[in-house]
Amino acid sequence: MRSVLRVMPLFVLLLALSVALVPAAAQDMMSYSTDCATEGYTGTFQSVEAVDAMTVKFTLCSPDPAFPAKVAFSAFSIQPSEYLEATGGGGDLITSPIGTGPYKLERWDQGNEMVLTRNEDYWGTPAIEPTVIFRWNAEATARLLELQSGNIDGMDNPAQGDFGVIEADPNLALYLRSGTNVFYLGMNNRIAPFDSLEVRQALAYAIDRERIVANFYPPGSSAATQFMPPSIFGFTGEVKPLDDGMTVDEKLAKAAELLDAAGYPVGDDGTRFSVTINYRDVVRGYLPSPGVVAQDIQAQLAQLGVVVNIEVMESGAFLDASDAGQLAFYMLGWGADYPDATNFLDFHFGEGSSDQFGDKFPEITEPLKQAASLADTAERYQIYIQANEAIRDLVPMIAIAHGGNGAAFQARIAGAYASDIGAEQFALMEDPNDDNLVWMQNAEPIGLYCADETDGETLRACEQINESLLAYEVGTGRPIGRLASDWTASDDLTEWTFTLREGVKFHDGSDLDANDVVLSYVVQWDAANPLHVGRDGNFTYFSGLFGGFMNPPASE
Amino acid sequence: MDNVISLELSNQGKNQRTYNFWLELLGNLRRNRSAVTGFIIIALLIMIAIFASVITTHDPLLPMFGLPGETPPLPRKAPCIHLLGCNAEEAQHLMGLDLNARDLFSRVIFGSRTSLVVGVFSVSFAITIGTLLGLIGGYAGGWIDNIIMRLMDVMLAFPSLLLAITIVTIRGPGLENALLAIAIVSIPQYARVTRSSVLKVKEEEFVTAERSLGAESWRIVFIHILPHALTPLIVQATLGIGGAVLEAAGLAFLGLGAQPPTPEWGFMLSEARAYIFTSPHLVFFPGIAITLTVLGFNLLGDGLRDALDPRLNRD
Repeated sequence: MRSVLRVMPLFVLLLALSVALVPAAAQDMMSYSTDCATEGYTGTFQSVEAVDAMTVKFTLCSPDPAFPAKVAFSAFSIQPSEYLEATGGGGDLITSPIGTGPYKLERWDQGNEMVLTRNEDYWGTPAIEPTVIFRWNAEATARLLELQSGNIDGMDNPAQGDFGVIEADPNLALYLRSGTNVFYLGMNNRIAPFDSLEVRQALAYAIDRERIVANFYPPGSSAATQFMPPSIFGFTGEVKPLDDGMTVDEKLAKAAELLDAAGYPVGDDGTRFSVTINYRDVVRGYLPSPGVVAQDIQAQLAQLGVVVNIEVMESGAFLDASDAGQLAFYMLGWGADYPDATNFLDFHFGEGSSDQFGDKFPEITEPLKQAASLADTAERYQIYIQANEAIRDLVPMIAIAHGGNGAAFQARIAGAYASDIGAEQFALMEDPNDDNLVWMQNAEPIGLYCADETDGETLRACEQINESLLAYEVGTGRPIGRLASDWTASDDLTEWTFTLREGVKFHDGSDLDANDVVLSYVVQWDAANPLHVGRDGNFTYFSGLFGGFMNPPASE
Repeated sequence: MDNVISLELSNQGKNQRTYNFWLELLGNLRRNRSAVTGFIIIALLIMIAIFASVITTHDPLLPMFGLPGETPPLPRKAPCIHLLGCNAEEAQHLMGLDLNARDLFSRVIFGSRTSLVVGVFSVSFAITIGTLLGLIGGYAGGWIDNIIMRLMDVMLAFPSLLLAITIVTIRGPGLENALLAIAIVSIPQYARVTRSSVLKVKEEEFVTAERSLGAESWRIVFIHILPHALTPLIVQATLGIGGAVLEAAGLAFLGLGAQPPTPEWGFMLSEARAYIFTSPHLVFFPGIAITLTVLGFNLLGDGLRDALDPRLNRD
């Protein structure tokens, strides 16, 4: 009896421990699914489930060869499920993110700078520099002055005229990005006069792309012949632009003829119609000097009798308005997030894309949907020819340029590079002089919950803090394991199973498990989820890359 | 020539203790060197604005792409003046080309129109409203005066450029709205100047006499009191035009004034400021134009003030 009593405390302790531990171990594994045939559902997700604590399985409605490339994208980074619930899917999630990345947010002094400190518990190779500071200035010349004076260690997008200056300076190093982007003139086919196909075609003839690229773009840029940049799969050289081989005068004559046919003859005042062109006054690799290009387009169209009023907008408001289909005629561009046609074509013209060009054309959406579900590259290529031809003929936008650009660093920074997709990992760079790396980009990040952001300047900041299941290998852009150590696909490419990496901790000290992954995806996927909040609630990348939302809101 | 003769006449007249206000003013001005300089600058500027289309060598809105004599790269091309040794085969551009390969000289010349229009119209508008408010407030006194002048105080409490930006933001950017905004923010200056003159004059005996003769208020205000407020108003308006030109340039610099492709000095500066080290001509010429214009109005305004001050220059 005495011995029993002596063991009793130990027994109680064990009981208490198991009571405390068992619920954790047996925590419900999340699983969400939908019926692909649901009316109004255009998405490709069928289910997301946590098979066990460290395994997540995605089931798709149709095969998706680019799935790993999409999963690696920073909009699909993994958030701690508890934090998602605590923040209600917005609010603090946007200003003080918690991730698994090599850096964590120390402070964000809005309008001034963003300071990131090294995550000492990082699962992989820790960052070299203890601190990374993001700063921004819209003026390329001002950024260069800061770099030359040594106030910053690296800068994005030097001005067109400064490439030579940087190359000649022994203290600086220039890193070039190839033009994996496109600058286009968007037209909304729900708003007159762009509801007329002839008008859209006329403008496609009228714009002299060569003139814009030759005069307003840095070396390494090229005039666009189609939406896809030449170096990315989905570019089809067979598809020639409408004005292929025509001289400037022939193009203008053709444009005038089309405008006459569309019912916009030259009026008594010498003009045909007037439109407003919108743009955001920010410098991007695809558009190094927006104001000047806007005025050149204005001057080019003036030759045709089309009066263009220029209206500059604030970056965030501009993107929201164009996504919502409120802008008739605007200058925008796109930089590759991952090297595949789906990133360009599906995002802009696919079924799940935003309303930025107005109504969608089945001639474009059908082949895109088909191509995105094929595993065979040669077959996909043939279908992309169809898609690119349809885009050329229906002219939802006019592709103008693929802008080459670069980044400049102090020559002493070891490991500096410029990522073709604008996703520089600062954890790999070393400044031998001090303990921090100061990076100056074009603009301030808009918010740090990147599931609901599309701006490249914003994504770059998120990428230091949050990580996705996979990542792009530096140099090749191939998907490699990040939070998932391994992944497999079923033969028909509809079932993708990811095994999570052991020992990954979030910045708040909690462990990564399958539920975090499931919830991170579901709050984006399920439009009816109470956590489907974000900054503006558009979740543009998810619907663009995965076709659409579950429980889509009733369309107005 | 006429001026000289009439001045002599007026000098003779002065011996007889009668003199003409305007001739007296002109005489005083002539002796003030800075006023003469200001006057010359402004006269030149007005001529330039009127004859802009004759003076300019190119269409200010036309990019030079594909024209004979233009060797690329065209944007931001440095000035080419044949007299100064520029290759005769090159097209001549006195101030070079701007970012869009347009002739900068023609744009600077046409820019004088925009600036003068904004300066003159905004000040005219402001002076009309401001004087009216000042006359009413000053003459009526009491609660009417209180309401008007407190409103003016509130407007003066805002930094004027900030208030102008707010107005333009609400009404949308554009030359007309910038003009209106500048006019509105300068109303209080004129209202206060007028009111103080009115207060000084309205208790004078000739006003009392007029009133006792049964003259109506509007007659007293406009015929007898207003002329006494003219002197400070003229000075204020001349200085005000310079200020308005500067404010218009400031608004345009922020993208809130004249919209492209209208040539506007402030907007030209704003576009080109990133190239100040690589293509200084883009910033230099519009900058000089703004400086000269504002300087001209300020010199003339100061000269007028001195010429009109009874404590100075009177012999």
